[in-house]
Amino acid sequence: MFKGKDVIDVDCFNREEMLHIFQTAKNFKEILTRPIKKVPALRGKRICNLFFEPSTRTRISFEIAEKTLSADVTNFSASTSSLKKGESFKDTILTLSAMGIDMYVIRHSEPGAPLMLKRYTNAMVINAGDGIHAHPTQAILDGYTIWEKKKNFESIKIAIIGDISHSRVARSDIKMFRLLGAKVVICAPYTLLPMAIDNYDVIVSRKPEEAIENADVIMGLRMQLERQTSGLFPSLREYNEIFGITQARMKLAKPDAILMHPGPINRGVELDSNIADAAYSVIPEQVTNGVATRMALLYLLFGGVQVENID
Amino acid sequence: MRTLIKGGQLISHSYEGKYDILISNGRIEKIAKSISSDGKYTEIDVSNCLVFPGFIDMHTHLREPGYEYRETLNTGLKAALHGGVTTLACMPNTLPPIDNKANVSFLLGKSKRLDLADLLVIGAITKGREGKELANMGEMKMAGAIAFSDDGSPVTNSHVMRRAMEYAKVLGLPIISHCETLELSDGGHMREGWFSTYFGIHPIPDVAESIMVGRDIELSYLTGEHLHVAHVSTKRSVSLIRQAKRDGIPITCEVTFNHLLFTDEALSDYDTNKKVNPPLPTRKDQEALYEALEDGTIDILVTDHAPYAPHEKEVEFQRSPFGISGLDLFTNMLFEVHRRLGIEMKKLVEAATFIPARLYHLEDRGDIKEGDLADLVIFDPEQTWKCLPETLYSKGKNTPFVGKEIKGKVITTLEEGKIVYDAEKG
Ligand SMILES: [Zn+2]
Repeated sequence: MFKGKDVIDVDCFNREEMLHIFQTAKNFKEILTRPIKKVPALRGKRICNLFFEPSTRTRISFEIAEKTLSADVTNFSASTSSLKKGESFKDTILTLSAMGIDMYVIRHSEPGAPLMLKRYTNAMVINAGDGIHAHPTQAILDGYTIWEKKKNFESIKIAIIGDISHSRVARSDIKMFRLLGAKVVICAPYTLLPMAIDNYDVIVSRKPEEAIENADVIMGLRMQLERQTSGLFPSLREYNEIFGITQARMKLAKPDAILMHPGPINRGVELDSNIADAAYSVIPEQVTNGVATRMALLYLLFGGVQVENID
Repeated sequence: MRTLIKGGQLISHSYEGKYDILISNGRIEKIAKSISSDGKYTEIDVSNCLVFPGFIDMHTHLREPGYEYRETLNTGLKAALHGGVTTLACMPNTLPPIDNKANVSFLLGKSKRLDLADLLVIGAITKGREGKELANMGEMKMAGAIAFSDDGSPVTNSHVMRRAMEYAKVLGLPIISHCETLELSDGGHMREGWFSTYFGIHPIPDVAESIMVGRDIELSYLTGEHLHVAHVSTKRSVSLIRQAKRDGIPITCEVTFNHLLFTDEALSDYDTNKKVNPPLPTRKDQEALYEALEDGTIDILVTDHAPYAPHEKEVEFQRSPFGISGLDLFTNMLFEVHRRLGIEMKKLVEAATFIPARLYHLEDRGDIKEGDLADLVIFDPEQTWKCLPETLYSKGKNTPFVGKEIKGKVITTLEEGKIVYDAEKG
């Protein structure tokens, strides 16, 4: 059910498949604690990390996952490539296609780029973030993190606070959490909420206090300074004051609530300065889970079945 | 030498039903239930076919001069005849723009020499289409321009637009307005709504159009100038126009086939061949367009034919230019609107023949009646064909119909009684 599949967004999978990915990731997480972090699962498979947009976290996470599984990894980044010399996306892909690549992991600033890539290649495609459209592997790691901590989704409330408009993470996370059955409340100034957002079957709240109250999971989103200069809110100070996730606001959440953030964090803007380091913060763990879930995904897409006996 | 068109099903303003048409000297001499040839006339048997007046497409971009790699008069006019269009108007957003009499004369002269479809030229409202100074509208009129438009861009400055409308009124020619509030479109790429959110494509709100429609209605009210709104695409726009018409303001408008046949939802594949400005409507907006077409709020049907070279469209969605190629498929798209929406064929045909002819004072065309030019389209509604890039005469292959099986086919196009397109000969 996984083999050969393209992962354009979260909705490529149903609930059961998603839980299977989580279970597989759990097994891989154990491998990451071993002294020798390498298994031969993807030996002889060629994966190309196509990064048309700068990224450190996601690219490194994929690279570690790929190398831990013994895949042959090629990194292509736009800053060092012929794209700078004006070669088109299409021509770049046609050139790479002649090199026997089995899978592309693509990050691009343009929504729909993974689907466009699909037009010119028969290789598998994983979307590692396309514009403000989708970021399915981030959603898988976020879903996994909650699954690990909360076990079931049906009875939990997840609050997502911040710039939803410009966030591919928010779009994919919302789909993920709804797929798994959680209640999702989103909160942001209306200038940072896209049109018809309630179609995702989420609750829109105007007050962060209301969103956080009795929540099991609180997720902050990165606020970019350029949103202020383009007139979407008056100042970072005011944003933090009204919409920031603060220690005081976190007290409204369930006692065992966790704090998440896809990173990188703007301390003092969407999160109060120290709460990223508080006990309820699972932000560092999200990073580890990112590698484990990406390993699971790659493994399953290349046709892997049983992880227990892998070594 | 006379030609007899025999056995066709006529659909036009004056005649509807099975009639024979006798053509002599490029004009329709006689229409009757049955005309017998007795071997005197060249006979064309069109039984099982529909016969329309040659279509009139008042909104096309033929790219000449300056963008000949996208289209030339030669390819564009041939595409028109293939699509059943015998009269068409081209927009002035060329390089240089059509903002003076020499450029108007160039296009008219060249199209005359090509002797394909009849070309009408729309001159720019402002010099260089910059929205600042009035172009020499009077001189362009003397050279043959039939209307003025800065299409592709709005005339942002309301005062400039007011003066342009007053001046054009003296000349007795309409202004065609591309209604867009650029600050609100804000570099967006599709209509704002659930699907722009879902696809993560930067949105253009519907009011970016209707706010400018509202302004232009007010200026038409002020000046009394006939204002024609290009490519309306939203519920709010048609509702403002409907009210303006009730108020007696001299306003007309058009809709493109693209906006009647596709919605924003169709962009799920990020296909740049469906990227157009104004953007494809939401379902709700599209329903308002159907309604406005039926109640006459929308006057005419156009293609907004906007050909691009393949390399310009084979890019990421947001990096692609706006525009859909349409001339080759004019009759097919009109028929498709009829089939999908159930709007009466006669009504659609009139919106693409009789009504534009009346709005733009085009004589002897836009109808099938005795004395009119014998501009006719013979269309077989049952024949199917596959739309492939090489089947299109336009250089612009950027249409969502490429690769699709299409029902209905233009068999013959006649212009002034002469066969100018023949499916058999290609
Ligand atoms: Zn326009």
